[in-house]
Amino acid sequence: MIRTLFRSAVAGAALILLPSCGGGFDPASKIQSVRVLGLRADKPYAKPGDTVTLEVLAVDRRPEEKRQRPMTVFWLPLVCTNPPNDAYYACFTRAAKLTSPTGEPTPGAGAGGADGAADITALVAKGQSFSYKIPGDAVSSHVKVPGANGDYGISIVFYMACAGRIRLASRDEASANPQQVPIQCVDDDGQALGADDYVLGFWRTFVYDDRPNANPLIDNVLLKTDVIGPGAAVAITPCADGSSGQCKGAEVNVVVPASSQEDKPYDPDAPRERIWVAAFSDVASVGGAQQLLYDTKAGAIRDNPVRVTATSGDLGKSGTLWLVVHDSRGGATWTTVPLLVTAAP
Amino acid sequence: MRFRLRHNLALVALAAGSNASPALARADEPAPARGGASESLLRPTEPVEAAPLPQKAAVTPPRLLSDTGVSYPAEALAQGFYEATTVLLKVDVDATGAVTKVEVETPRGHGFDEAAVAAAKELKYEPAKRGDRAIASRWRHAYSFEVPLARLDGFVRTASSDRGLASVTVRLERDGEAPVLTVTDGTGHFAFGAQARGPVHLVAAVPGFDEVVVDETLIPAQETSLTIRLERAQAAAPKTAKDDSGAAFEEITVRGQRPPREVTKRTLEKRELERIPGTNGDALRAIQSLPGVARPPGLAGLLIVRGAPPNSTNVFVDGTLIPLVYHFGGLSSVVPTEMISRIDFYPGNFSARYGRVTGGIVDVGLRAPRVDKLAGMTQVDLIDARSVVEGPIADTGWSFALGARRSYVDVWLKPVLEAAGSGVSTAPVYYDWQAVVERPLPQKGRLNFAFYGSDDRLEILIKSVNGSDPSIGGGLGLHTAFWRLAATYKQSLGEKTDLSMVHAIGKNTIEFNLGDNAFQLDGMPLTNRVDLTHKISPGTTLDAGLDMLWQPYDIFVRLPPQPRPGEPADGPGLSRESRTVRTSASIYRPAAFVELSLQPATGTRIVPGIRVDYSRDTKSWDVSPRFSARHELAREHPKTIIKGGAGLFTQPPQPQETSSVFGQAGLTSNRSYGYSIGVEQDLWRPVEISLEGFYKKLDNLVVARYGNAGVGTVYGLEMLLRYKPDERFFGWLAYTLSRSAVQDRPGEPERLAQFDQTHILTALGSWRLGGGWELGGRMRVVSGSNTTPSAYGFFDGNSAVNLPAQSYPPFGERLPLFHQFDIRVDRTWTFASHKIDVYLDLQNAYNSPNSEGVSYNYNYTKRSYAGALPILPSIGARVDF
Repeated sequence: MIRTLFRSAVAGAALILLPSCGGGFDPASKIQSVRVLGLRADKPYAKPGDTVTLEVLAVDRRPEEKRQRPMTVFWLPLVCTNPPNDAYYACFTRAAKLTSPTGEPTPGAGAGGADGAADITALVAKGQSFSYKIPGDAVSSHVKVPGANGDYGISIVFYMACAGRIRLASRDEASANPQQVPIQCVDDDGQALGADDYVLGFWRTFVYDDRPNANPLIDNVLLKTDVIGPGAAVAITPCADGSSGQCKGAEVNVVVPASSQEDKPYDPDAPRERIWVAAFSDVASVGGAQQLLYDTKAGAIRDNPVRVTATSGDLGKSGTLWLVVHDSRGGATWTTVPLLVTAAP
Repeated sequence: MRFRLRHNLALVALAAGSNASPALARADEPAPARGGASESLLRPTEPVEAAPLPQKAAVTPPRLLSDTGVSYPAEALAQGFYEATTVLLKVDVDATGAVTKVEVETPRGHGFDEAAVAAAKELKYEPAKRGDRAIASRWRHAYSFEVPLARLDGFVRTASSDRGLASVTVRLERDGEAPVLTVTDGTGHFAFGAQARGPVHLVAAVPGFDEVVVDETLIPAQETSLTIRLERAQAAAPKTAKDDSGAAFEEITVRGQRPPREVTKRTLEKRELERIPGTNGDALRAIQSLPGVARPPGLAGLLIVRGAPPNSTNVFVDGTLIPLVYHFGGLSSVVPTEMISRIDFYPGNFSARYGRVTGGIVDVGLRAPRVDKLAGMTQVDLIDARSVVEGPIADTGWSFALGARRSYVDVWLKPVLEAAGSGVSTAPVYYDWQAVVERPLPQKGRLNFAFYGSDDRLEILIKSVNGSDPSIGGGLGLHTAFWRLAATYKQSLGEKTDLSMVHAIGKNTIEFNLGDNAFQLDGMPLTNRVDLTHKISPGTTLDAGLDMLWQPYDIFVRLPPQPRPGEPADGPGLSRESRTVRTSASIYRPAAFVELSLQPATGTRIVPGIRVDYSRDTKSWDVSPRFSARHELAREHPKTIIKGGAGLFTQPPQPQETSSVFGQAGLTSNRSYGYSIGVEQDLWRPVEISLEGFYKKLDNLVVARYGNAGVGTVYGLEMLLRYKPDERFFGWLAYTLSRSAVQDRPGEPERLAQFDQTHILTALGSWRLGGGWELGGRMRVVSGSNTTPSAYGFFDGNSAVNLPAQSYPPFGERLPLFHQFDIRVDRTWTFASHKIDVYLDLQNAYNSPNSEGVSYNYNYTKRSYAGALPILPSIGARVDF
């Protein structure tokens, strides 16, 4: 192990420190398709038998000409509890234990167990939020995990933000590929849609008998040091052409109270949460799109803003800056800031 | 083959019933013995048998007329039986003087009896007489066989060429005897003629060159021919330290080498180690240019041998296992070239002396310090600076060497990281150090203490969060370090037995933290290796030993569970429940080995061996039989050697694989059945070629959660066309064709191993241009590394990142062909007391756009190849004094 760890550590550190090579892609912060920017559970950690309500931040920023089919968030009416190895994709196998959102046992196999190509659009829940009940045995039925910080269970739900209809996908039972996708987003003709038209996602609810966990809070959003009031738009002046390297843009700081960094008394090796903000925009570019706000050991991170810039081509456009704050235990919250790209006064 | 023998002939007869005194007679004409001089003696002996003769007649014994003599029997030579032996015979001689019957009175075996009888049947006598009448008689006749002598000759040449050196004094020394001197002729040839068997020391000395001592064992009836290469004395007068072009010689001693025990043992010479382009003069990085070694991913610093994962190759320093070969990023190795005397690389089918891995072995020898004067070197370049000083310690008989190195990476990387928004507490930096003291002991012995170690560390605060894994962010710390204190004792225990012991204690430290995850390990390894070599006979050597490893350690690990190959991670680190283990335990892995080296005929070596390993953590034994053989089809230049080997190699599970938290119970060792066959052929002077095919059948491979369910195969062909260093040039063309595939458990598809590379071609050469200039180049063309393609998959709501849908089975895509050309230019100035070398080592000279991986956009719908290192120059200067 020693040699393996030595070599892994050195190689891993080298890779982490490597400058980003290749790429040239649009950043994740640039919103121009169907996207899910975050999920928020009213109970990031649940207890057995709790009802959990999820809220999804899903947006559709496809070009206008492609928006004939509106985006809808579909929720599979199945709760997958304690799949093998806690793996979400194990819910697609017949080994998965499934219940209905109300906690009733669901006959049949896993999410992918039904025959392929069946249109299930009408059978599934729709909307930005979804509630489901955690099975009462979610913790007790989970295998004991050596080295884990206490007994726990996992309940997983799947959703799809889809600008079309959804149907079950054919499953190749002969394949050992563990990641076969169980559902598809298709158009009215049954043609599979592309990645710009849908997002297939899942949410794990970690279940403990008694472990509190709250979502982080956002006190304020500052434009440098000035508070941006509720609903107030931020005007951004485009950077001069050719000055992208020097143009710092608007400096946006998200103020999260220190109380949001919850203690984890059960975890002496990482006794506090980490909190970071992820920023997205459909009109501007976001530099430092994911910035650390609180570190487990270093505490609050100062002077670490999100920088929003625009180009002269964006002049006159308006859009949104989404700011999603996460903590390291699945907690999340978000806010939006209207953006307006204007000429310099 | 010529050899000298002597035979004693005793011929004494008494006429049966005669009362005459026993007669002692000397043969009139001593018969020439076959193959050499002889002498014959007649000795009195007892009457054998009385013939019915008249009582009063005078009896004249027969007179020996001719004796063809005897040769020391080939059977005895083959059996390694070297003792003076006498065979007594009863010989019936008729009245004509002919031998009619021969009986062996004292059988000796080993072919002596048969040889004596055959010779006796050819004896011609003048018959015995009673009075004037010829009579039949029976005589006792003895043949004595003396151990044939050996012959010793050879050439003395410059270290890197075939140019013979004239007027070199060659001294043959034996313990307790006066030395014998000879001088080389105009071609560098020397000869000592016939010599008694046994160990000798040959000392070759001539002004301007370092004295060389060669230990050799002379074998009876064999002609030993040696080539001794002399190295120019360092910092000698310019006239003797330069060749005709003014370039300084950079030569080392290459001693007459015995055939290796292993099927393939590749040894790089000093000049090759220092001047291979693209390695920055780093000896251990030079290994990566040899056949069978795959190109490691950029900045990974790994040794990948015959498709095996890096942890299947062990690296030793003077027999002591070290945990790390390369510093951070693979920029340099943990032992500087200047401290290394040799690197032995065994890509497979290695000796029973080595174990616990199924890949290859690298054994690095630390150089013995100079004993003649204080000397040293200092080198600085853009990566690091290092220095070595060595010399005798007064008149104590001890000598020392001290070396140290520190990197400069922190100087330029710290501002880069800070500009990127990271807080840097400790920028990446590495050190290594070495201290060696040594003294020779009587009986070819030596005592050596070595203290060496390495330290790499960095500590930064990453203020941004990785978009594909939010767990990567915040504090990042890395500290890897080790040190070893090793004592080596080597001693001859008489003529036939050598003892070698290496005992080492040390410490391994690894501390790594990233975000909430971390592991920390402190281990105190204790290794002992005892090796006893005994020459049972000149053609038979027994090698037996112990190889012990005991390491108590303290470990803390906090990581998410790791998936097995082919199993996608269940999300980034934050989305998974970390597992923690904090424990103190120990690794205890003793082993014993026995190996027999047989030379049934000149030029043939057969080495059967067996190794027994025990792993306390798995409570299992591994018994590994091994076999290798070499045979010289042609002994003289151009030599042709065929070779082959087979064996079982085992590798116990890594402790994390048996951990109660991260591993599984009931595991046993990984196994590899290795086979290889090859040929080595001299083409012309300094050029040789070797071809070797290898096949490894892997089974019992440990696979996460599946137990010892994995199997695999590795096979391939290696070719090395090598121009050995001479005064102008060295270089080689190495090519490896291989395939390495594994199956994780029955029913799953076979897949390529992660480090499989089909084609590995390396061509390199270095020319001395004269005037102190040397120019080298290295071209590498290698199949791309394997990668697992990813596609648009899932959105993980807990971490708010996209997870890829990974293709199955893993490693199913090969990156584009890798090709890179490296250049090295050296300019050397040689002065009376020191030498200065300035060099440019230019990696990726034509800025080849190689790929080290695949970059994806945030949701894995777009991809491009991630670039490898661009053109990377390193300028340095070195001073030797």
